[in-house]
Amino acid sequence: MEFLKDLITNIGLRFQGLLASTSLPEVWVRVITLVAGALVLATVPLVAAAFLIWLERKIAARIGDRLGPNNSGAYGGPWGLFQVFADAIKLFTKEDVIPTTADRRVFNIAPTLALAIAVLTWAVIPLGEGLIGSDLNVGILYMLSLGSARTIATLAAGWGSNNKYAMLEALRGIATLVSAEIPQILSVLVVVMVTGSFSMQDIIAAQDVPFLFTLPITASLFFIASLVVLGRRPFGLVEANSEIAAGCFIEYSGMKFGMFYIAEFVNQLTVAAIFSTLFLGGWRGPWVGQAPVLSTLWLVLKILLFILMIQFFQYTLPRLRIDQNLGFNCKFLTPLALVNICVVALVGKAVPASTGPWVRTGALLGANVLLALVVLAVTRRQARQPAVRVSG
Amino acid sequence: MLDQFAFIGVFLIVALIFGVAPPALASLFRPRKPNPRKAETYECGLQTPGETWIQFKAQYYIFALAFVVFDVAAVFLLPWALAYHRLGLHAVIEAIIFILILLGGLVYAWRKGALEWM
Repeated sequence: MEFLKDLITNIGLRFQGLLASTSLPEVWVRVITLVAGALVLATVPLVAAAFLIWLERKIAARIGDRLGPNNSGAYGGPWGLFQVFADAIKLFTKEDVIPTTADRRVFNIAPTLALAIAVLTWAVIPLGEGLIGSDLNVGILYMLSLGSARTIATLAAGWGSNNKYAMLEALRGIATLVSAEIPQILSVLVVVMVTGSFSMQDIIAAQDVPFLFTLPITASLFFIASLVVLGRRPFGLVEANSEIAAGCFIEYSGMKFGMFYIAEFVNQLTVAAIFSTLFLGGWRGPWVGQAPVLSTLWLVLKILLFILMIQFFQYTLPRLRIDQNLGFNCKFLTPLALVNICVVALVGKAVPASTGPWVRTGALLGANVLLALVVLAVTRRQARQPAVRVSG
Repeated sequence: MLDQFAFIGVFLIVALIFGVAPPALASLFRPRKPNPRKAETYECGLQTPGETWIQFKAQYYIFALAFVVFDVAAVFLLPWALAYHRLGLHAVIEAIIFILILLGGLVYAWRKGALEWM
């Protein structure tokens, strides 16, 4: 029973004990521990993404009044759970077609980059109490820089394919990614300001009240910017099936396409985990003190909540046009993010920490509600003005 | 802290292996039946007319420029945010003036039409 309470840490300790009991030199023990830890940690998002693909197909089907994957031969498993593995085998055995006009080196490197970058972020995500790949003191910066690196994979895929659909998509995709990154960085900045640390574990430790309740505007800014970055509706421009076929992925076949596909789902999980860490209190929840293994469960539940929400958006909302999307990012999210920083900075200084956490929470929440009302009033006034014809 | 960065180094190598392994493994199983029609650029059966690697509109450059400005501003603001608790009201007001100047720049770009996608 004691073993179960802190299951994952205990398995790790057992493994380390086993290594120490062998006659290996100490350096090798450390290296093996590091490599084993890295291998396990890198596998977690990939397996979770496979489950997520099944979940997404099931939800998409149910919203569209269909059944979704429910039968994949004799080994389909309950509710078609093993469909993903059948798909993986299919992708492995598909021919790899590369257009003759493509820039082969760039073309081949793009899927590798996409998957590696997607997995790398998981090094700094706290998966439970004391369960983190590496608790960097610059964890937030690491996460933000990898978020920006994603654009490189998109550009490599679009440019290397030498296909007009892919090229258009790369240029559009980068414009949207880049314009959504600014509000995202600026909303993370507010969290850093309130906690005073770049470390993910410190940010969780600071959330006696989850930041979703103290900083609702910051949380919604981050959420909306994440939707844009992930290419989910109402901002789903990365795929845009009806306009530019499959965008960047049009020339990819077999496993290379599969890697982009998996990377997309890993990114979804990453953003969900980051949102949970920054705004929902990460692994914190009831009874974590008694049984630390529960902390991972709370994190999984919070991630699922986020994922279900973006999937409901994805399958019930129509898509915005590219100019509407960019206009929304640059003319609404960015100024609001900047004003939000000013408001939180002023309120934080006006109500010092010595007044107690509840007064501070109340003041921040009040300021956020006030800001939300002002924003509503301004946008409503804007909407009432007659539309102006834009000449090109 | 060096320990933590050692893990990042190992993780980087593992992630790259995870990125390289699937296509390498697939090359053992997949068939290879090349054919000139198959290897054409995808365009619904027609030849793609003209160049794909074109010069894109200048508007795009201005857009990128606006992004760089805000990214650099964020780099300036992050250390300020980290030290926020230890700063006096004076430093906070200075940062707010900096943000207001940025907002001014944004409004200027907006009025100039640099934020329109056409």
